[in-house]
Amino acid sequence: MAQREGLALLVGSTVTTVFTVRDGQPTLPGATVRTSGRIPAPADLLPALRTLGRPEASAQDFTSIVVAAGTPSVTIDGRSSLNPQAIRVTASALLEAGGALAGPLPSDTVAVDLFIHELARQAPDALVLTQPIAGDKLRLVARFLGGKSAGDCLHVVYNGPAGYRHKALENLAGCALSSIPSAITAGKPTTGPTLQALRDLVTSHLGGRLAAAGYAGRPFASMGAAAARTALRLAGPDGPSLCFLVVEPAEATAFLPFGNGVDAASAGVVGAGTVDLIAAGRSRPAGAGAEGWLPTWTSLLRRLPLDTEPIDVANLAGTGLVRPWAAADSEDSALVNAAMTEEILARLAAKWTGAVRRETNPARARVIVGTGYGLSRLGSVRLAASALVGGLEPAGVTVVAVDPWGASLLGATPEVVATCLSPLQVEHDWMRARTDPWAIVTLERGNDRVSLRRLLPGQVSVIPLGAGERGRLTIEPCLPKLDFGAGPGRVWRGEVRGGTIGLVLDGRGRPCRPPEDPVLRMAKQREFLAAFGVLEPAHRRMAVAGKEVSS
Amino acid sequence: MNVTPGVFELGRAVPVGSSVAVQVGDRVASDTVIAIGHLDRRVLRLPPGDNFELLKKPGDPIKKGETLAVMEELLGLGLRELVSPCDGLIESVNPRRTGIVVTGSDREIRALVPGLIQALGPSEIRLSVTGHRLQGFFGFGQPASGELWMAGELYTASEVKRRLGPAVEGQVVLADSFVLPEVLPVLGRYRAAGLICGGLDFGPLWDLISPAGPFPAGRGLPTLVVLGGFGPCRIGSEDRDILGRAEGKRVYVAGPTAGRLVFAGPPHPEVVVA
Repeated sequence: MAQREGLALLVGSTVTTVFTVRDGQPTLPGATVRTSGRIPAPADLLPALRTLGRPEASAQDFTSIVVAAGTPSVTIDGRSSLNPQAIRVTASALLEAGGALAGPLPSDTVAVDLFIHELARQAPDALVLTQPIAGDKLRLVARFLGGKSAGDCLHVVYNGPAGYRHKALENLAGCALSSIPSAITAGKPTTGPTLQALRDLVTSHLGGRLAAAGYAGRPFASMGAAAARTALRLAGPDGPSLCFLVVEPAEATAFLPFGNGVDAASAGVVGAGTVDLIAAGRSRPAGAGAEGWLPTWTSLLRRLPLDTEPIDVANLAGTGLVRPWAAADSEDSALVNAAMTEEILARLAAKWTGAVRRETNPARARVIVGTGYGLSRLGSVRLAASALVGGLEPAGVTVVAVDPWGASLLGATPEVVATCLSPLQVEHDWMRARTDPWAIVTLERGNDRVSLRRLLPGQVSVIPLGAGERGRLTIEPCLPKLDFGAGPGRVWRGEVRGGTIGLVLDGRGRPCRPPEDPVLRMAKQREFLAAFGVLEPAHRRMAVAGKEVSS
Repeated sequence: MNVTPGVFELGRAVPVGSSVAVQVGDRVASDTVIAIGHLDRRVLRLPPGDNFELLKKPGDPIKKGETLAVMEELLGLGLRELVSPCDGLIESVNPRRTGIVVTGSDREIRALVPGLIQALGPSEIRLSVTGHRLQGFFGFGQPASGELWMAGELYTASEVKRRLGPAVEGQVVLADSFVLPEVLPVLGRYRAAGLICGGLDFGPLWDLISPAGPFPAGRGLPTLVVLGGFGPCRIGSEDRDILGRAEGKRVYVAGPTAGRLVFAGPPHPEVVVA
């Protein structure tokens, strides 16, 4: 939490934002500079400080610093076929502590040479062993670390079952070996020691980096730790299930409070996210899938309301990756960046159950909060909210909030943009003409104002409910199998908050499969984005007696 | 595009453990040897089981294409050969006989750009260079240098075959505007040192350089520096002027990180005209 007055610094992986802090809260808007892969020195922040009217500010004026750049990279070793739970728990703890995943290692016994080769290629700051190593593998690791000097030493954290020692690693100058209790005890995850060890590692590493950049003695937190704390704060002790997302241009990390802790996982389109650790083919460099890291251009195109060629989509997507700090300079570019974000989120949601646990999933959270420059660069909270909904495809009644500046990481409350309504697990058949409604939606506001709408399959519509307004929502399913969160066929009742957009009645079905017909698909994508206020609604025009008439 | 004129520092990566052949304060030319060592180190996986015969032992020198092991296939009806991907020597065969580590032979690492040696590190030699440094939009590949061949408009692979041909070996080709990515493998076959271009399409390029493509991270292709952007882009007028004055002279081209794809730098791909 920021102190009462001063400046706050948010160092993202692509963009750094400076905020003025008043009454303990960061004030919007902040001012940004490019991060350029390292923590910017106070002198580098001068353009941002000038924008805020504080050109004289020094490092001592920063009362709170949250950092994503310069965090230690950590390689996790372990055989997913033997102990996947240990890898899952360690990966989640790593994100919660604020470290960065350097990549997975091939751990098959037939590939010990590849193991060292990949370890050297990843060049991590720390190696976490979720299982003991012995024999050829231990000898090769010892030989590899024996070639390192004390100044270049690798932190090796043994986090496996008790009773094993790695004597060959104990007296090497290039290896700082420590042992902590296993993350799995009697088959149950106990994340405490693992999380604490990784937090200590991140804190000491980041402390050194910040001191070197000129911020010695300033209070700081890693982005992961701040995000986990924010997720717990926003969810509250008995609040609805919440998913806090940090979305960068090529990667997204989700933090979901569960029990007393937080589940975390990441997915990306360049390199590997933690969701790829357990996935098949992890012995390949960076966990590349069959099609490589990036989504196919046709799959991106299916998310766009653009009448364009895949090659143009590829160029826009590539430009978005090469210049992640740049805001979209055209509508097409913003839409492609949003589609890329949707792909990352869809990848995260699809692999969550295997990579984290079945009980939590970003797509099933009742509240979704998104922040990060990946959303900010889209240029509008409406487009950002549509990307969150399009990527995660939440079902039931879901509140979507967007914090484009990242101020929620410093204690601010994010802005609610929309509340999305969609039935659970009902696919829509696009080949059928308009059918009976899925539900009757009633919104009662103050002053006896009542809005009554039908939720029609295949259509997306909006009931306006402004920011700060509240209303009583009733959803009456028209078919016995339809479930909006109260059970199949049961009426859902509850209070909803308004936002920039209001209530979005999403009839595209879950999972949402866009129509095969390209014209219909574009029309439906346009309708979806028009509901979010991103695009103008498409009007069908007919030429009647030489005049154009909107219908 | 970002252009740095005047005096600037340039880092040349050298393999850890290589013998450095220069000292701080030395003035070097493009072809001055600054270190001797090897960067290549490859692991060749052997099939499980013992149905193969190793023809080499650790310490043996090997040539590219030489047979290292012979394996039985189809219940002994066929034979498959494991051949060396590079010149060098066998570093080790692991005790379980599941992999062979091949190291490239020591080779001379040249400065590639004229300058003054500023600092010697364990993995990098820093030079002070006078000239122009052009920061690329996108690129990949090892540092390389060669005479600049102004190819004008160069779109297709057939144009490379017809207009450039084998004479392009060791040269850095400058294409003014848009290039089809199919040009890169052809330039690679002619052993061109690099390609500087205004723009190219990212989709077909990704098909070549993706982890699942035929040239992962651009390995096996000439060094590429895109100065304009993805799609039909031209080289900016300032860059064009600087490169135009360097026609026929040696220029230095480098991707951000050899052997890995880096989309958003730093480091950035670059062209140096000294």
